[in-house]
Amino acid sequence: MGKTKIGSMLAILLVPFMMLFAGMGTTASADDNSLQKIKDAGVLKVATSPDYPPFEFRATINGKSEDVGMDIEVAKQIAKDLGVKLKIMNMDFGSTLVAVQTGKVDMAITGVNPTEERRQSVDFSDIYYNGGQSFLIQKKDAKKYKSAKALHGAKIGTQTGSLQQTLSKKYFSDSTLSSMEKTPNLVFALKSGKLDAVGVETPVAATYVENNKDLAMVNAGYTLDKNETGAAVAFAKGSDSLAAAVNKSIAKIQKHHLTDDYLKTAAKYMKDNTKDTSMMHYWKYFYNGFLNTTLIAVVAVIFGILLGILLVLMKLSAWKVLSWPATAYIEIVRGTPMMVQVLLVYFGLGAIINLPALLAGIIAVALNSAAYVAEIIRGGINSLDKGQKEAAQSIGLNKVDTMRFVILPQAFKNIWPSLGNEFISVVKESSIVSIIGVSDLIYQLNVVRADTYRAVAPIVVVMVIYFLMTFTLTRLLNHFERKMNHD
Amino acid sequence: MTKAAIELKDITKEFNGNQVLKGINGEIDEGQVLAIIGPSGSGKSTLLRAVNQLAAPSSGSVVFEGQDLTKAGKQSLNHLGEKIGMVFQSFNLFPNHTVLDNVTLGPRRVKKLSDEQANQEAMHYLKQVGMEEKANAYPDSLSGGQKQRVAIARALAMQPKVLFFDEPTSALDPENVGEVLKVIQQLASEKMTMVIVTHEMHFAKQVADKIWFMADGQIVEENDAESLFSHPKKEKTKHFIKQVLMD
Repeated sequence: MGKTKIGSMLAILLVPFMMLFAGMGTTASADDNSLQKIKDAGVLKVATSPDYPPFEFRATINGKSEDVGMDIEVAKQIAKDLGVKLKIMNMDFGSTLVAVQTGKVDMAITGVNPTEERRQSVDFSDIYYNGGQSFLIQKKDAKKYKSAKALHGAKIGTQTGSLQQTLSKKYFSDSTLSSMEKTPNLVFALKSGKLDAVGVETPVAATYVENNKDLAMVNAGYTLDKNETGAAVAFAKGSDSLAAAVNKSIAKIQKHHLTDDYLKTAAKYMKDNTKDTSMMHYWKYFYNGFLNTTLIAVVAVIFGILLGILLVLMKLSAWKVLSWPATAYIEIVRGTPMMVQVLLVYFGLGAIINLPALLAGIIAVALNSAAYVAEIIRGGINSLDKGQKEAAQSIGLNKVDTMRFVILPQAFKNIWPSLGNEFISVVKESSIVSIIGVSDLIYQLNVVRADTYRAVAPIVVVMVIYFLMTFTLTRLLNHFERKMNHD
Repeated sequence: MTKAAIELKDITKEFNGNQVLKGINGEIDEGQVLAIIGPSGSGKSTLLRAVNQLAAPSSGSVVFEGQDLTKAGKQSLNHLGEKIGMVFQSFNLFPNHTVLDNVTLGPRRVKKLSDEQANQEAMHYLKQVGMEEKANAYPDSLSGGQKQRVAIARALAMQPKVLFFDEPTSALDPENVGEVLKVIQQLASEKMTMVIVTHEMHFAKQVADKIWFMADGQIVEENDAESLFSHPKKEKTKHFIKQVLMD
């Protein structure tokens, strides 16, 4: 299966740490209660990354945006056989296996192929689908590339870290190979002539061809071990009882050839999706993304300021027990990528208390912003004349009042432009929360691109929305700046 | 005889191994004006700050109302601001507050007066310094002399026992000096206990009951104003007075 992203390397690095954090480890199969736990809870939590039709994607059903696709049908069947309700949890593909390992979800069904490397960290069910490998090509090249053999020496693109990338390296070492993170980007490169062929899963290729009259496909003609190319369900290590139950469901699916039906249903939804690919038709996706991005930014900025003030007061304190932790916190937050912080809050903190992705995202962004706000405020305080503090002292104001009435109001006025920059960057940088499945603008962007097979238009829409948001914010900040500059 | 409001005993102050004050002894008398004069770098401002604990002395003691301030806890030091007022060379008004709020902030937050009462008292002090018409202006819009008068009103609003002036006219344009000196003179006539570090010799002579001439971190000569200016005893004093009065 073609889906591997940034996450896999991170997962390897983060998981042991998170386990330590959470005080939990994968238990041995001796006391395996993986199946019983789900039955007790009455809910099966499944992680998926819905940007990969026909496996999983979003469709509007009765006015509501829902997860659909072959994998969703498989999940429904498993939940039905277990006699429990199904809860689909969306996140970035790279995060799905981490979610499995940390117990955030019971399983991941998202077109994962059970490679040897992945088997090191998770267990897999039997394979429920094996579609084979193909190349997407331009229709006008169909005669030139009658079979995959003709692609030797051509420009071939694959998804970064995917099986297709490994295979193309092995079989087409004489071709010019390149990789990108997202399949829609590869297809766009193909259409604009930057690539001659894109290696994808056969059903993925088929749906692209069906929805793009400029595209055609050829079989890749690889001879492959079935175990390494099919799609399987991923569980936490040692979930033997759960795996046995799921394998029963998969046997049933195989026996009745249910995946064919699933793909047909998926194709129908895809048709619906592509009937009207105008951006207006998808306004609700963008609108929801806008609401979530706004919510994250507003809440994160408010708590970022409050926490930032607290941090700076701690840092400026004469007591080392206060100043040292604040300094350490600020240095660590500023010295690590926000993406790692988001993952750590969601999976690390989330292993201790049950955190919804949106809340985890807000917390992570606020915690991150607080460190920067603290440093900005500190700069503002240091820039004030020493005489202000002395004058406050000379009329008997205590330290708290001195900060509240004299130092902070002036510091804030001085640092307003820098704070404004920080707010604007919170709006933009908050997009990183899409990796844990928070449906912000970037997340919705990927969903719409996957649904509509349009590579550029959704990007432009999202760019305009971001710009309108930050532009409005800038005007607002300027308004307050003028208000502060009395006389 | 006059009673001492503040007693200084053997005060020293060091900055990075540099001895700025080399053992100051003296008394600040109640209801009187003490002027401290002397060349730049003689330690005049440092002494003022050492006494009111803005920059605590390295050794020695400051006895105020029977209490040694150098050994006082933080709590009582906060109350010091209520009792020893300070007017700074560069005014140090709070630019984020109006003139009125500058004056009422201390009474409201420290003395816990109601807004109404604080405003009423503040207007009284602003009237005293002739700044009542600017009550709602922000400090940025005032001249240096006006700012300094507001700063005096701010200090007075805390009803201090003693008022310190650290070169109150040094940052002013010449045409603004008079209005500030007039206010200080008025306070002197009302028997306010004051310590004034100044370069205005004529003013010092006119307003001060007692003058300390400082040089090189020490009090070189102490006398009443008339005697010190007319009959300086020490060579250093003679030299200094001759020099400044020539200017």
